Amino acid sequence: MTANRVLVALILTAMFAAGAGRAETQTTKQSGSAARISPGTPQPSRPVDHYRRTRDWEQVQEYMGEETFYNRTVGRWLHKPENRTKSWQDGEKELGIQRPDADKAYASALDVMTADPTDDLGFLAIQFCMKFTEKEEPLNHCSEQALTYLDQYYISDPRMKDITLSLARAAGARGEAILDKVIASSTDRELRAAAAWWLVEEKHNEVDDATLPDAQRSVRREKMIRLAHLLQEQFGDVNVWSGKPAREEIAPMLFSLEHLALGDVIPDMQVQRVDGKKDDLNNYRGKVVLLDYWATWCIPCVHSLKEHVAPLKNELAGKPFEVITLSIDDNAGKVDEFTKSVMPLPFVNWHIGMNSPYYYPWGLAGVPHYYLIDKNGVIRANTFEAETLLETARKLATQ
Amino acid sequence: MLTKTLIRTFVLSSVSLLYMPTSVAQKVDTSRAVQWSARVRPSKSATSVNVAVTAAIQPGWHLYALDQEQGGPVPTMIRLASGQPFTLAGPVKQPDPIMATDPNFDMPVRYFEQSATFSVPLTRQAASKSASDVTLEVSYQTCNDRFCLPVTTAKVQAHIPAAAR
Repeated sequence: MTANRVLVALILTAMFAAGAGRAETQTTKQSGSAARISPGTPQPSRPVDHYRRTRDWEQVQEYMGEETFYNRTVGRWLHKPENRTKSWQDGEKELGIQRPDADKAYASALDVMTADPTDDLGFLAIQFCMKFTEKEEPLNHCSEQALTYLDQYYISDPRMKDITLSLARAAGARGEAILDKVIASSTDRELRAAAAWWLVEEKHNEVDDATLPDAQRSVRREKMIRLAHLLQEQFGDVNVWSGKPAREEIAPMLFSLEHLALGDVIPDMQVQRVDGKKDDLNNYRGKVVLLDYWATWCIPCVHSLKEHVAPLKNELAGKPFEVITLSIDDNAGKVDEFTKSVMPLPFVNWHIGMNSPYYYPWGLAGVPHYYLIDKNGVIRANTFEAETLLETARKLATQ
Repeated sequence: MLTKTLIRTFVLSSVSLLYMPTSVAQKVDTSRAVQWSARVRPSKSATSVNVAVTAAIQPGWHLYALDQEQGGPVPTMIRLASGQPFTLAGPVKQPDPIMATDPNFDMPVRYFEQSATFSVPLTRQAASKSASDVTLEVSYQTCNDRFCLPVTTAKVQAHIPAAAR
């Protein structure tokens, strides 16, 4: 893998050098091209070879077409029932097609953006490199350069809005630094809102990532809360992507960041049990409690109940440990039916429904979801993956 | 470390008609599991119209079939929004779903992956032969192998040209 990267680096460097050399020889021929760039935009370091640039972009487009074809063809093959356990590699062999070579496309896109990073084609090349970065962990030459240009020329460019998600999701610390700069100094208000929005969307899960050190989580939390407030107070009317104003969209997230992070005492909950009786989370203080949000129509929830939650309850029988299920089904009757036809639920079973104040307003959007609460009501896990909290539950219940 | 759910989202743009065969996401991204669109299929008849409703399903997500049995995942439902000069002319057709049996549920689970195009036959009311938009409502629930989103309703519109003489 590393050897491969070095090779790619060498090829890129070589191509880049060749490209630069060729452009220099044509200086006189192309000297008029700089005049086409609108005032205020940067002058390219070398005159633009428009023919070569168009050809480079065609190569990128060709690659995108091939990539789509590859995904569709192999995807369709994998879609067939008899191939469902097979891999993309199996599909390639069977169909006799190969994954198109991305490195060439990256090199071409790099040439296109280097010639002029600010015109339409330059922007498309930057966008291409950033989008493709979403699927690859480390940044490559193309996306590294794209980041440099975004930082240099796009902080107040409305076109940047399209790239904010990629920057937040897959461009690491450099991407985040660019978004921070946008939030602090961009003159485009919608762009600032988008930068704040996607940073919160993409990074808020680190607040509840128990594998991170406490200090790091608390720095994260502070920043996320600050950005969420900013969205609510300064950009409340902006529609970032969903059609709803940011004020409305960010409210549950903000509540969750401020009140439901690891280390917070969980707010009180007054609810109805499936059997109709009233219940209160306070009734379980002094016990370790696992809150398990689920629904009868949610296959992954049922798997998780069966594979992780029920065995944990068995294992900790006799210990101060309680499992409370919270069904978001339309009505409690669905849960009754479920216990008769699918599996018993030997837990405390609540029915809250989708309109519960403890669901959407708590920042939850789907199921399953779990909060693990210690004997003092402090949240010790906040996750959709039950298997990540089992060890903590064991420790807390046997302490 | 666990292999987490396969979810990706893409911002719509000129260069993003691409998706990934394999990808690892750090979190559940619920924003665009399924995107709906509709278009009208050409028809020679003045009164009958066929609308193709397409679900673009993000990798890893399942959309449940129209005929999913009760008691498990919620079936997808497509209906005509009220107050329009059209009526449903027959049952909505779907492609063949993937069938799987789940060890917990005593029933087959029928679902779609990647994309599914449903065919909605409509009859145009005699009084209305001019061009118009038709709005369909799609209620659907979706899951990947780790996570489900509750039923939500999407509205899709298709433009229906004026009836041929």
